[in-house]
Amino acid sequence: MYGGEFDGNAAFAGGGFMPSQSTTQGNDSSSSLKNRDVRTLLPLTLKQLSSATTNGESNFSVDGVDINTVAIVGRISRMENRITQVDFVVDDGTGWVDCVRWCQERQETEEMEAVRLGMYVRLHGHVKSFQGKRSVNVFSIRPVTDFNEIVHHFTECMYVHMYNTKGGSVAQGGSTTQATATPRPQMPYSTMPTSAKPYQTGPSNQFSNQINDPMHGVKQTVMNYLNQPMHLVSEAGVHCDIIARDLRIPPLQVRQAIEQLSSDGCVYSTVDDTCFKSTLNA
Amino acid sequence: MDTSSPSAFVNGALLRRYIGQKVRTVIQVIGSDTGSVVGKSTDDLQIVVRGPSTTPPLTTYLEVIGIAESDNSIRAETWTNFGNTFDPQNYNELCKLASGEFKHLFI
Repeated sequence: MYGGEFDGNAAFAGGGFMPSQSTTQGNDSSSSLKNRDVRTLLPLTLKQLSSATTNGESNFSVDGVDINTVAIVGRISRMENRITQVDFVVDDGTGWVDCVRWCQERQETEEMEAVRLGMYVRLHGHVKSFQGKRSVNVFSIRPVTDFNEIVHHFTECMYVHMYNTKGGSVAQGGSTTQATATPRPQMPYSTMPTSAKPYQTGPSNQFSNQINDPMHGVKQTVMNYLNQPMHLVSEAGVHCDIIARDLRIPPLQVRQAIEQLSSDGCVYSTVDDTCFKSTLNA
Repeated sequence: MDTSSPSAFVNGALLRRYIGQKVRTVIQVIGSDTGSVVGKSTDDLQIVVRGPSTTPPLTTYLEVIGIAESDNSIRAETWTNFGNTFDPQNYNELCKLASGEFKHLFI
């Protein structure tokens, strides 16, 4: 339960230092929710990558989601080892892309040695653009050993595409107070990478089980409602009956959703057991 | 980066849509001869693959990338052993989705 009256906004209002964690809830998922710099790991086909829209040299987006890191699965069709870097071309059947892997450390060299021409690999990297040509700066690569992974990757690309383009419509609901809601989901789908470097994808993971979670739609709707600026600044929060009335969802469902969101650290009760606020600080 | 020569994911039934074009498919190997492999597609149709004259040892499942010559044969450019534990039903569904609703992500 929320304890303590520390309100970061009030304490540091007036300019100057604004701490990145200004509530006393030291919950991992709430701190990454506050982090506006959401890092995404998107599984993509090379066709999707080549049709990504760009607004500047290194800002790419696909389906409205900013590309930070991409996951690609394909065959190595060309490879040149230049000691400190390895240049190679990956072809996933939808296209091919130039990749480069810098090998400064032993672990990186060893990782590249396991990869050979003609092999299927899974790689994670950042997309770079130079003079209009796109390439991938790879920081993690490994050979595919179970070829079902290829089918899985493409299936996941389709799923993520659907989630990012249509998934948000679940939250649109029938509410006039959602005037400030954006057409796409606030938390874009992103996967936990399978390689060694973990990324902060806390909030997305909670909803990545949406297929198995019948409350997912309601939870997302309630979150979008509570994340609106006017509710974020209100200290007393919102009474759950008001949430139910505004969103036209049965109060019992709202209660259930709020209980789950509360145990996930996304909302907390304020004045008493009936008023709630999102843990996201404006 | 280039997407001008993609290979379409096909099963036995979809192969006829891409005759003359580059395709990729996975077959379950039934038999092999010098220069050709006969297999069963993921939707249980027979496909003949013509490839290099020396056939390396094959696992149960084989991925073939090449040009579709007819509605049941492919001239292979590359083939890759996909092992013995591949799931053909998943692949079959992927082929249908990649040629249908999600074609714009692939071709």
